[in-house]
Amino acid sequence: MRHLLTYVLLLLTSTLLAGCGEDTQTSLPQENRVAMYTNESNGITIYENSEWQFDSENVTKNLNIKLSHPEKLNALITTVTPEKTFTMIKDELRASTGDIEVIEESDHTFSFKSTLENAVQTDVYFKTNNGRKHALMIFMSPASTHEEVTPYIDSLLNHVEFKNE
Amino acid sequence: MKKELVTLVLGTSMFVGGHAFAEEAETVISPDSELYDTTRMMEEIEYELTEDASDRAILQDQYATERLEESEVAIENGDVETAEELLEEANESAEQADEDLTEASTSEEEDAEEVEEIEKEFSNSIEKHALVLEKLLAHKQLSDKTKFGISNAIKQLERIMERAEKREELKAQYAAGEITEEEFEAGMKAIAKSYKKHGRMTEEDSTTDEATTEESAETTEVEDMDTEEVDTEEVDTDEITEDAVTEEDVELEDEASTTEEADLEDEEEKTEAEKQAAQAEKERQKEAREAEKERRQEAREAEKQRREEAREAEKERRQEAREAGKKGNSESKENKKNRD
Repeated sequence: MRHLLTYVLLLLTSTLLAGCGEDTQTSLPQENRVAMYTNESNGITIYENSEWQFDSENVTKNLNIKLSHPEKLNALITTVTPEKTFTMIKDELRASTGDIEVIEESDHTFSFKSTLENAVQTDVYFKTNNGRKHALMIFMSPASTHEEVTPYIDSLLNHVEFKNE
Repeated sequence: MKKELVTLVLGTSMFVGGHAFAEEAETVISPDSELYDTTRMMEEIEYELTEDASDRAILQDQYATERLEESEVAIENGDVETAEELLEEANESAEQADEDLTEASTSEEEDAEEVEEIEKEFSNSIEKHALVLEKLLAHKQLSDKTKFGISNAIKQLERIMERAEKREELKAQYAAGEITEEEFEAGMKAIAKSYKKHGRMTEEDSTTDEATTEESAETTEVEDMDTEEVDTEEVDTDEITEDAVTEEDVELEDEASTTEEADLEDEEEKTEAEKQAAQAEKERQKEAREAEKERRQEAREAEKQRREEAREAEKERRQEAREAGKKGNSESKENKKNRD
């Protein structure tokens, strides 16, 4: 009985720890990685992966890093002050995008597409970063080719590192 | 949050066309928001990813409406400089929508009825934009330069309306068989050219206007300096009268106020440093904004160039296909003759 209780407690603790760590850092593959972009002040490193290319870095009120993929896919990695919740961010995005059709919404993701005939789909991933600035990973592609580009989205999600202080 | 999401009462609506925008956006993101530049980059990407000319026209019209709404918010926040930039960008988007619509009208891939519906909605939208601009023109906070810019923007919208009417006329003539396909295409090209000509003229107008405004600003500065000199003279006279007060009194007052003055100086220094830091930050942001604007302009021009090249290539391909078709027809006729 004592052994069983210890086992259950261990299982619960490991589940809790895994849950806490989930959003602070993306899971990274074990192979040798080459950084294509590093921003030390914001603790962001992007590693080379599946033909993703670094396009530009723009710093005004926040940091915006633009990346592109040859398969008509673009990504923006954006920093947000820790005071901003994902609900607030979603509200601002809704306000700026005109009319949209929401595809999926969760505590850390938000997918929507425009109401045009040839709609563009946007997938937003919210990355919390324990006290430091939060980050958003925004992917945009034609809705018609979304399924085909999903592996490239997953690839970039797994090749961006947000370092904790 | 309230600051960043401002409910609008402008009543401007997105144009709907065959694509039916189900609901009107009730809020607008403030240009002061941390995420503002991100949303503008998202717009750029959305436009780049959109191939269909009529969809691109819808998007540009939507952007023009958004810029107008944001300029209203900037004016409410007292940021006239940003409001001016946004008005300029609203016009650029309206012009681009007009150009995309001209392209959609001549494209064989576009559904003619759909394009016609979008054109109607675009005209409605332009009228609404003109109304919003006229409303802005009545704003007391605006400088003469901004008002002049708004008047120019209204004129530009009028030109867009004229072009839309010309397009309609041309289409009616083509539909009635009064003109050939080649004449129709040449007419549409002429309209597109008039867009570019007006675009250049507007740029020149605004440059001349800026020069005039700068000159008048300099004159005002000189006038201000003269007034300051007069003020200084008055202060000097006051100081001489004050010197008549006994030196003892002055010394006593000095002793009492030495500590206070030191504190005040410290505070002044601090405030000065804070002011300088704020000014430096403002300048940095301005420079970043200008760089971003330049980048956007360059991206727009590159995109325009790419689309123009694609259009030319498509036209050549069609021409070749037509010629090949004609050649094929004549050859088959000859073969038939020979067989007979």
